[in-house]
Amino acid sequence: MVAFITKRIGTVVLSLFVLTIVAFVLAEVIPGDPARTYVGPGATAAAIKAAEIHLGLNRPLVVQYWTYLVDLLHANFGISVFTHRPITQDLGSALPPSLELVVIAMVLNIIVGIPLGVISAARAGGRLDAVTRVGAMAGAGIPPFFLAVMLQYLIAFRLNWFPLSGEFSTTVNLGHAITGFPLLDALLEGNWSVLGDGLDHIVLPAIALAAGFTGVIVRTVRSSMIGALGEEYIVLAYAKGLTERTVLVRHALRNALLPSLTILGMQVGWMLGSTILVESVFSYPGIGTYAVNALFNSDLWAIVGIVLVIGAAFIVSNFITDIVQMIADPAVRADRLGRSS
Amino acid sequence: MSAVVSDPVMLAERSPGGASMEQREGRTRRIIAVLRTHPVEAIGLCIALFMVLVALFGPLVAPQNPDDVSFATRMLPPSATNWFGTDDAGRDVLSRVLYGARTTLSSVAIVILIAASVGTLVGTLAALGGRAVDEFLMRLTDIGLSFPPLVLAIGLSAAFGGGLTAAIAAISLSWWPGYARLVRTLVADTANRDFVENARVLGVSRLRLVLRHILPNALDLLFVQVTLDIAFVALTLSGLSFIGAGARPPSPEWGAMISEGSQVITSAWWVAAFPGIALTLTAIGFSLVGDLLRGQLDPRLKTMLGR
Repeated sequence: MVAFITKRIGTVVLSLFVLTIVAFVLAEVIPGDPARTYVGPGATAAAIKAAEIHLGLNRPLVVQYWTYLVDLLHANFGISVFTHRPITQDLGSALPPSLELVVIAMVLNIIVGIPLGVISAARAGGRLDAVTRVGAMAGAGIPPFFLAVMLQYLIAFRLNWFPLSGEFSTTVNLGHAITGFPLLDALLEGNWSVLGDGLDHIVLPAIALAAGFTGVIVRTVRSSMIGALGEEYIVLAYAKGLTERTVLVRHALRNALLPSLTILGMQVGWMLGSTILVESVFSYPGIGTYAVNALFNSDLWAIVGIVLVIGAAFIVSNFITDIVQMIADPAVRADRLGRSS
Repeated sequence: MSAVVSDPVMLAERSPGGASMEQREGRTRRIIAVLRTHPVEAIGLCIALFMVLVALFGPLVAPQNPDDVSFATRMLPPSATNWFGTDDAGRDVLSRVLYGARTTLSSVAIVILIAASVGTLVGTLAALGGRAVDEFLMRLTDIGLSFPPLVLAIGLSAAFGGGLTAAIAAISLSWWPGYARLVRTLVADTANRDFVENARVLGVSRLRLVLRHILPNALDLLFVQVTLDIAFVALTLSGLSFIGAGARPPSPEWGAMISEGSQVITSAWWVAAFPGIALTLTAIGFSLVGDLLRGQLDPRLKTMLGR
C-alpha cells in the first residue's frame, strides 16, 4: 500500500512538473507580442524594448523557465497584460466564486443523480426507467454552454424566475470577508438575505454546469445498481421480508455506490474546467469568465495561469480520488497492489 | 463494421479475410433483430446517419449562401422563406446550420483519425515493444491523461493562435493518450489468443502478425470507443469555438453560431437555438450508437471500455 501511494505521489509530482513545462511552452509559443500588448498600440520601439526588459522577455528560454518555476513556487504567476494586476491576485478573486459554483453543482449532481439512478434501476425496463435514461442521455448530450444560454433565455428572461446574470444583486451589501468565499461568508455571518440572493444567482449556472455530469452519474448508479440487485443477498433480503426501500438503500445502494463515488471524485476536476464554458454566459465572476476574457484579450500569462490552476486541481483531485477509492474498496486495493509490486 | 462488433463470438475469433455472402446476410438479419429490441438506440442510429447525410449533402440543398449578409433581413423569425430565421447579419440560419454539420463532423473526423492513429501506434508499441518501451510510453500516456482535455486544448489553441485548425490540433493532442491506453490493453490481450499463437507457429513474420492478425482483431473494439467519443469530441470542439478558442465567427460552425446567438438571445432566440439543437441531436445520436455497439460486446470487454 505504501509502495503504491509512493508511486502514485511520484506520478503526481511528475505530472505537476510537466504541467509547469507545458504552461511555460504555451506562453513562449504563443504568437503575438506580449510586450506590445502591454504598452498598448502606437508605442515606440524603445517603449516596447523597455516593456520587454520589464517583463523579462529578453532572456534565454531556460533562464526564463527557471525564473518562472521559482516564481510559481512563490505563488507569482506574472502580471496580466490586460488587467495590469498580478495574475495570482486575479485568480485569487476569481477562484472562490468558481469553487462555490462547483460545490453547488456537485450537490445538485448528487441529490439528483443518485436517486434517479436508483429508481431507474429498481424499475429497469419500465416506463420510468426509459424516461430517466432518455433524460440522462439528453443531459449528457446537450452542450453545457448551450444549456446555459437556453436556461438564461427561458428561465431567467422569459419566466423571470431567476436573475439573468451576475453573482449578487448590485443592491446587496456583502458585509465583511471572513474566508473570501462570498456564499460561505454570508452563511457564517448568518446574513440570510445575502445568502438567498447569492443562491438565486448561482442556481442556473450550477444546473448548466451539472447537467452533463448528472447524466453520467445516473447511468453509472443505474448500471451498478442493476448489477447489485442481481446478487443473491438481495433475494435473501427480500425473503427476510424487508421492504423494497430498505433493500434498495441499505443493501443494494451501499454496494453499488463505490463506482459512482470514484466518478464523482473525478468529476470535481472536470467541473472546474467546465466552468469556462458556463460562467461567461451568466457573467459570473469566476475563473471561467476570467479565462474567456483572457482569451479574448490574448492575455497569455493569464491563460497559462488558468491552465496551471485547473490542471493542478485536476491532477490533485484525481490523486485524492484514487487514494480514497483504494482505501474504500478492498478489490481495487488488491488490484492496485498487485499491479504496483 | 458494426455488423462485426454486434457478434462477440465472431468478433473474438474472426480470422483475417472477407466474409461470405451467407455470413453477410446473417449479419444483416442480426442487426435488424438487435435494432428491433433497442428502439431508442435505433432512433439514435437514424439521427447519426441523418447528420452524416447532412454533412455530406447539406451544402447542396442549403437554400442560401451561409455567408450572404443582408441588413434588410436582419433577425427575422422563422418563416416559410427562412425556416430557421435569420441572424443579426441577415444570414439564413438554416443554411448556416447545414454548412455547420460539415464543419463539425469533418473536424471531429480529423481529430479522431489523428488521435486514434497516434494512440494505436503508441499503444501497439507499448504492448509489444518490451518492458522498457512499455514503461516509458505508458508513463507518457499517464501524464497525458492527467491533464484536463478542455483546459489543455484552450492553452494549446491559444498558443497556436486560435482558429479551427488550432482547435483540431489541440484536441487531437490531448485525446491520443486515451486511445493509447485502450489499444495497449486490446493488443496485449489479442496477442495472447490462440489464433495469434497458431499464426506464430506457422511462421508468420512479426510485422505481418501485428498488421494482419493482431491489429484487425483489436481495432474493431477501438471502433466502438471511437463511436462513443464522437459526441464528446464534437462537444469539446464546439465548446472551444463558443469561448473563442476555435472556429471564429462568421464561419458557420455550431459553437461559434451559438456564441453569436447568445449575444442577441433576448431579441432573436432562433439564432442560438437551432445550431444548439443540431449539436445536441448529433451528440445524443452518436452516443446512442456507441452505447448500442458497446452493449453488444462481451461483458469482459465492456468493463475494459467503460472508462
